[in-house]
Amino acid sequence: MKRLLGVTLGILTAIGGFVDIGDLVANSLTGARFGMSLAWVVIVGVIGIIVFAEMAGRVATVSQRPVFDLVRERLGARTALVNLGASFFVNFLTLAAELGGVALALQLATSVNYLLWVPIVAFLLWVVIWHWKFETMERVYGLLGLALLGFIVALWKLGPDWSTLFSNATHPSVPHGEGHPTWFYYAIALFGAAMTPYEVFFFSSGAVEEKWTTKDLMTSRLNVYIGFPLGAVLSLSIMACSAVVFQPHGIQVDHLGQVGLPVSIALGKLGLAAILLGFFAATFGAAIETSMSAGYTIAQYFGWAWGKLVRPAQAARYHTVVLLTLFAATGLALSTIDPVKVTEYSIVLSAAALPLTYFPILVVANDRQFMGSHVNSKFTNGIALIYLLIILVVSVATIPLMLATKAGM
Amino acid sequence: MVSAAATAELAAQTMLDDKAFGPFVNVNVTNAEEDANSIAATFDSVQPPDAASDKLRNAVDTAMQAATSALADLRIAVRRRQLEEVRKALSDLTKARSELQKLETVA
Repeated sequence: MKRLLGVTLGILTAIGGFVDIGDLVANSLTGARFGMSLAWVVIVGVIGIIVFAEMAGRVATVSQRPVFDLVRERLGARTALVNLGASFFVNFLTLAAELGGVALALQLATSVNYLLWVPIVAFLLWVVIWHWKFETMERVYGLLGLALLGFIVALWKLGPDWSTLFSNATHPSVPHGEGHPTWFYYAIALFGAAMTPYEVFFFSSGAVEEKWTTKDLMTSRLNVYIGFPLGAVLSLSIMACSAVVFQPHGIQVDHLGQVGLPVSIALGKLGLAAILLGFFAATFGAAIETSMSAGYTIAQYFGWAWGKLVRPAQAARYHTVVLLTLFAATGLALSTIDPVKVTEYSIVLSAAALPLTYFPILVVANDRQFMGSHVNSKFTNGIALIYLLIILVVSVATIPLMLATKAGM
Repeated sequence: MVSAAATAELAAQTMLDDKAFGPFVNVNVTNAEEDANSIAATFDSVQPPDAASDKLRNAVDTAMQAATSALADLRIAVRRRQLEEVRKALSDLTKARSELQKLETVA
């Protein structure tokens, strides 16, 4: 039972990380526009995040040192500062997008303009981060996020032609009327949505906060092996719902409200209520993760005391960074910039910034000085190196593709 | 424009089928109307390249006006929860969308 409860860290990370505003939008958008032809990217992405998070969790558990502490030590202070700047910026954009996402979910439930919800959401977020225990946060938002399973039920109720969906997913091709550059641009967006670095900052820092030891490595792996695949199944079901309902009508997904429409059509008000709750929980959970990750990255780089379990007076700088980042992200969300557009840019830039954190973790995971007998196995290294190559290619291709396709237009 | 109209149609239909809450339908229809208005304004600001294009421009403009007008009627009816008016606006919107789809094929 204790181990089962321990898995909630993975579920929170998966629901609030793998399935956040980025995934909700990216999967629905690509499903409506490209059908299931980009489903393979979700699979590639989930294997990548499993490899990355498992290594980061193992490194944090064995060395009792989180990601950015090791990044600085491995890359040196100057290079790691560039790394910190890029990671913090992407994390900041993601936080603004998540804040907007929570506000949009509340707008869908109340009709009250999302801009009025943003400051209230930011305040609630601060209260939760300040007052709630780490475990309570994990369990409440992780488990509420399971309401998103409604997408799987909705897909079944929609009664699609399963063989066509499966064939479309297993024989990917660029749909008629779409160009290869746009198709690949959205493939990168999906990959970035699946492998957002903050998931790893949060997961590995969480492992240190929960004082995991080598005895907890199995729990860490269970978190990764259950949580992320669950997130991937949800992502695929969101994509499939959009492919079934929107693609035949030529509908493009530009708003969070559209993402919930297939569930409303299939399951009615009860399903819709569950999905709106799921939207709220997933985006709020991700907002918690990104807010705390902002504090984690900076505090770990500078060697300050950090974490929820440290008394605020002893980790004042960590809490100040979290609060200031939250203020700034609230300002960006209130600027009337479209949260869905912020989301689209943040996931694509996440993909571009991935090597900055992936590579140092891969190096440390192979360092016997830190890891002892828990270094990467040959099998893990084989997969990890393939992913390093994929991540590098994606990182190099992201900006040219963004410019060539005018961000997927 | 076709995408916005089709989204609003689906959302309104869920209201008629009692499958969605009023605020959810309202937000979807309002977003669709804003998108359609933005597209219509962008289209109107484009200079037709030659006199021969004027005919097509007028036809598209008329269809777009019909769609944006039906979307406005739909939004009003949804907010007032007048189901009969929702049905009427939905019918007008479906016609306007069909017209736009025909013009897409011509273009």
